[in-house]
Amino acid sequence: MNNTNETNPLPRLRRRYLQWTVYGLLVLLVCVIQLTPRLIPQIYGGQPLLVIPLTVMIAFYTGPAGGAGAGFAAGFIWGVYDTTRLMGYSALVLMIAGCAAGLLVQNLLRNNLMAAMLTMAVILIFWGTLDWTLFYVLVADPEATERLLRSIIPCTVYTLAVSPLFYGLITLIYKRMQKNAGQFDNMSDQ
Amino acid sequence: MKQFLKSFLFRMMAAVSALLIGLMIYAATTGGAATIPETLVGAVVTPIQSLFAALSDGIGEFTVLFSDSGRLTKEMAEKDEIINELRKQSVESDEIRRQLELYKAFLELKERKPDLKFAEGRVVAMEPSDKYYNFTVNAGTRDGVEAGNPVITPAGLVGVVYEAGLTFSKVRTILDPATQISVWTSGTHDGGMLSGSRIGVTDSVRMTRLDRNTGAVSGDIIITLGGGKKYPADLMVGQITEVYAASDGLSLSATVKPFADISKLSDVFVIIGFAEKDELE
Repeated sequence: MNNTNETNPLPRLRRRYLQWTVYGLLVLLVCVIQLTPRLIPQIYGGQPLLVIPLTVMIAFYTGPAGGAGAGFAAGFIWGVYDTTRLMGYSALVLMIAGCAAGLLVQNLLRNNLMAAMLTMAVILIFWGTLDWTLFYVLVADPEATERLLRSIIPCTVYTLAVSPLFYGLITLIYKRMQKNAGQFDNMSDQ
Repeated sequence: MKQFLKSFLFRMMAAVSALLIGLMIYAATTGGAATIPETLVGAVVTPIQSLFAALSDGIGEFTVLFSDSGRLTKEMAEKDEIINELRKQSVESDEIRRQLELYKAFLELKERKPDLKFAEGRVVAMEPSDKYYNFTVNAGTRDGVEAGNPVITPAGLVGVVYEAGLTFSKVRTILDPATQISVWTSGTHDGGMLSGSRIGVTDSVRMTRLDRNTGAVSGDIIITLGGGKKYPADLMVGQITEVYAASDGLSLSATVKPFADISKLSDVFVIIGFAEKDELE
């Protein structure tokens, strides 16, 4: 069986294309959902930044290159409609975050929900701190503290709370692909 | 780590990062025009975003029945029978009826000010963390929209386009301090400058540079002054809720509540032309 796959890389390539098509569509869908006005209910003035957990969870299953790619794509689409940050900023930060998450799971952490949540928490704190510093503190916004308490912290907590859904979703997609791949390989052998 | 720093991925990421930083610098200097990558991505994503915005409005009207019954009860009393009828319809017919209502309101505006040329737009995206409720509409340069165009609803002025792409435009609302509009009071014709405030942004804006001897009082209607290429005259903006002495001691300021509920916008019209602008050009 292994011999067949080693000599014929086509099924593996096809699987990879399929996998990235699914992830690409998911990135697009989640970006659109995140930006659509009034679609996701606000809690204490915060709304979840769905593309961050999506990027991190993709990174957990695809490694640093996949994470960086997903982060770049998600950040780029987000940037087109972003009215607070410059175009390219979200793509840059999410690309780094995706790569970092991928490297962590490749070298340091196990791929499980606990590790994913821990990574998410660190990345969200990094994102929130950077956002608050660049867009409120450095521009001397008189409401910087209020924005931290009434927007950034609720947004961070809300995003962290919905993160397990993304871990579950990406795990499900990954397992389904692996299962299909097994069936496909068996069919190729026959 | 050393291995990663020597890897192809790291070099690739460094190159992409450099490109993105270049894009950020370029985006900051385009003066209201969307960058080419933005235009390309926007052309693909804006139709999907528009579809989701339409779905969201439909879902919103349905879920508000359950999620905010107190406010709904209050609002229901204020809404006329047509809106009540709309809520009972299916999502599809709601959409058609809503559009008709909007066009009716704009027809009235158009009859009052026949020189105005409009481009219709739907609010398709709103950044969750934007405290001034700046938003993106699905009307762009192909519809005649350009940076600097005022954006209105039947209730009044809501903002100004600050970046126009092929299929989308980014709008800075009147709550944003970066938006500055020359206005006057409809009763006493006292001029002033309207802008958003960086403190206590809820749903009000500030009118500054009012003459100390102004007769403006709470309840006066604020309209645009016009006379330039940016804003046509006599666009309704809001109503004064408070007049107070400015910190400089030389003039008065006023708190103005906009007529339009800026945090809940769904359909807007972009004014792409008007008589004063055409004459000046």
